[in-house]
Amino acid sequence: MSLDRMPIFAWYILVTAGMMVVGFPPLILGSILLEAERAFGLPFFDPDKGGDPLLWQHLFWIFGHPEVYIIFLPGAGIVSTVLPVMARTKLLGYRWIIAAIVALAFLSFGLWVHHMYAVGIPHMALGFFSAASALVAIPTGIQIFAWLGTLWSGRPQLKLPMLYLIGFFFVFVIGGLTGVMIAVVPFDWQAHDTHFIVAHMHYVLVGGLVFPLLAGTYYWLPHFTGKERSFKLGEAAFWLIFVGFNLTFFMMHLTGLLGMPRRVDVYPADAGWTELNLLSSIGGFITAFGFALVVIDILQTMLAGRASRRNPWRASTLEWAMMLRPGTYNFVSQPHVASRDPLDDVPDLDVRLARGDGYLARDRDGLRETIAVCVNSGRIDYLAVVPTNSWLPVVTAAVTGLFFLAFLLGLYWVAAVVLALLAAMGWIWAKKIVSHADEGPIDIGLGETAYVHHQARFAPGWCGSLGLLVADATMYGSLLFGFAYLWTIAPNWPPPAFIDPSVIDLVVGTAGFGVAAWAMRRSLAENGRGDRYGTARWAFTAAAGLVIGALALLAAPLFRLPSPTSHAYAAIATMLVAYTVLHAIVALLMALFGWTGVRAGYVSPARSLVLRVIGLWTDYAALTGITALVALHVPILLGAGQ
Amino acid sequence: MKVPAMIWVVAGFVGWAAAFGAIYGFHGIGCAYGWDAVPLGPTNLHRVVQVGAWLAFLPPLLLLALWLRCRRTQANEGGSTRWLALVGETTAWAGFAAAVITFAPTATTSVCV
Repeated sequence: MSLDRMPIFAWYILVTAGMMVVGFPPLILGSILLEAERAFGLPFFDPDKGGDPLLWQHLFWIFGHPEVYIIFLPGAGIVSTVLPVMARTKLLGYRWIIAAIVALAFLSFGLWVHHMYAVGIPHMALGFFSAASALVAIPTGIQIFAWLGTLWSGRPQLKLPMLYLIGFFFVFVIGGLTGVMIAVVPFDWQAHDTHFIVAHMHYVLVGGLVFPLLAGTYYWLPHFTGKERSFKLGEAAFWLIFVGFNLTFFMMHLTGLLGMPRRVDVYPADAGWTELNLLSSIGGFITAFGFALVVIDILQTMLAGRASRRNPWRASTLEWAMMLRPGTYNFVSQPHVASRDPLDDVPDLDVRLARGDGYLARDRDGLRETIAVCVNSGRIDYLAVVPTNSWLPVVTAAVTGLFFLAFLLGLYWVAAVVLALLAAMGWIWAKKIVSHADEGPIDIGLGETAYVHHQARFAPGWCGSLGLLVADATMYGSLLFGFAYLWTIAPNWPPPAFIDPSVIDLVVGTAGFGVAAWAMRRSLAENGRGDRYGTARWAFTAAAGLVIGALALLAAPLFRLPSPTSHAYAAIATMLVAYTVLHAIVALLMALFGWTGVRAGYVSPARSLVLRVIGLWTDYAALTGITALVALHVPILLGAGQ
Repeated sequence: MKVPAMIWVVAGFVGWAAAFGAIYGFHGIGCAYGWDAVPLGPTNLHRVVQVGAWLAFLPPLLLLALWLRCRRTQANEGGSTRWLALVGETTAWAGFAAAVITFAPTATTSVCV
């Protein structure tokens, strides 16, 4: 299906996934810096040595605020999916909702400082973040009004998922409105670190996620269980949760406005908060009973419910064309999707797909296959062969866990060995998934053919590498932000000594990385011409260029920088080198894999995927390596250290 | 190389994000190096840089929205390209409006206090 026919829930998840790719890396970087400070004494957050604890707050909240929307958007996706079905109509404003969630995703990255209004930030910066914090209410409001319009235009039925959606509207709108209040700096300064914030956070997160999740749980319960509910326990549970939640957290708005701080377990008896807190406690117990009843209701349905008929809600989305419960293969054959409501277009689509009247109805040598389409037109692009069962992910996860465990226990030499082991496993994995021969077009049913992904331009490996590098680039950008932040904001700067700058390192390193990126392009071009010798030779040249670039970078901590434990400047400069050298090593291993792979037949003019993936990583290693060299040497060469 | 139509859905806000990074970056650098203490006409160097950066980002964002409007009107009626262009145009206008509002404090608030 093309993007304009994609189910609205899938749009929400697509945008959420994009946010996760960019949102998590700053937190990962913050955690790495924290561990490096703990394990090796690198003073990123120690003000006595030029560090700044506010750098941690920035890195945490650059992740932390988008995370609120990463939590909310799937919940909103459930609302956009379930609400039209409950209202027996179509979702109003599909396009506007998509524009709104894209806007919301971006704006959510521009308001992290509203968690830090009280730390002492200039008014101009507060103004940016306050404006963005207020603006984010607009795309949220667009969704709320689209949902209200959908209800207005339909014939709503008060079934259990709808009850939870009504609960969502009530709770989430209150949470959103208090959010606009605390976006305003003077009000936030008054309410900062009080129970008012606790109340706001719970109204947003429980309203925006828990109520929609419960609506979705009951909506898709026939899918999970294959059964229908028979008693009204769920309705009773809803009222307990709704009343209990509001009793618990609405009171916290009041205690917060009366001045009660967060995170206290005792307070003066004459503060005037006792009765309100008692009501909150009673509400907490009622909520707990409500959730217990939900669990009992679901267990009762699983164990003693009647078998559900197909598509019990008469929905129009594809998941209801599956068996209840679905088989491990989901669909016997895959449909051709011509609109946003495939079950409205073809009411017996479930029977047709089960009969095998779709794509990929026939098993091909036990392979697991699915179809990839062009996102724009929806035309079939290629046949993606997905991995079969393997212990490799489990073993990789265990070895990765061992790496972190070794760090925690201070066994750093074990961590280094584990890292080498991981690289070896990566090599083995790559050897397992490459293709050794060209294949002709394959019959996929419905009179169409497709090539396998090894021979496609936007193959999963290439797209996945691009996504990973976007995440990686966010982490690198956060590291550069940390470098600039400490240099310009942190106390106890300038450091006792800067790097001893070297034009030779700068030029040689830049040349090495430049040659690596250029050589991989030449390797790809030679592969296109079918010259295996030329392809291998240029891949090897790229590897050599990466070695030269990495050595030029390593010269900084080995010969030119002060000790990394002496000051935050040297610490973060060393971290910059560690990051870029690690990526140069990864790209080097990949280039060597490409070099051996050409000789082993992993690539051909039709199968250039391996080389194109290596090209991406080489370009990234070159780009980060050159920018790190520039960041280390150029400011000092220009006199910034005077 | 043909740019995938999906890119236009996020283009307006990518521009907004670039503006945010640049203006917030200039703010930090300017405060660190005392640009606000350098008089320039009726104001100071730092405010001129901040307002200048804000105003410099607005025309490209406006042109992007107008260009996507042309692209949408030229696309085939009912096609997915037209639909993506329409979403892109909507988000581009929103990105432009967000840039006008978010960075307006460059002109009105105290710079480094």
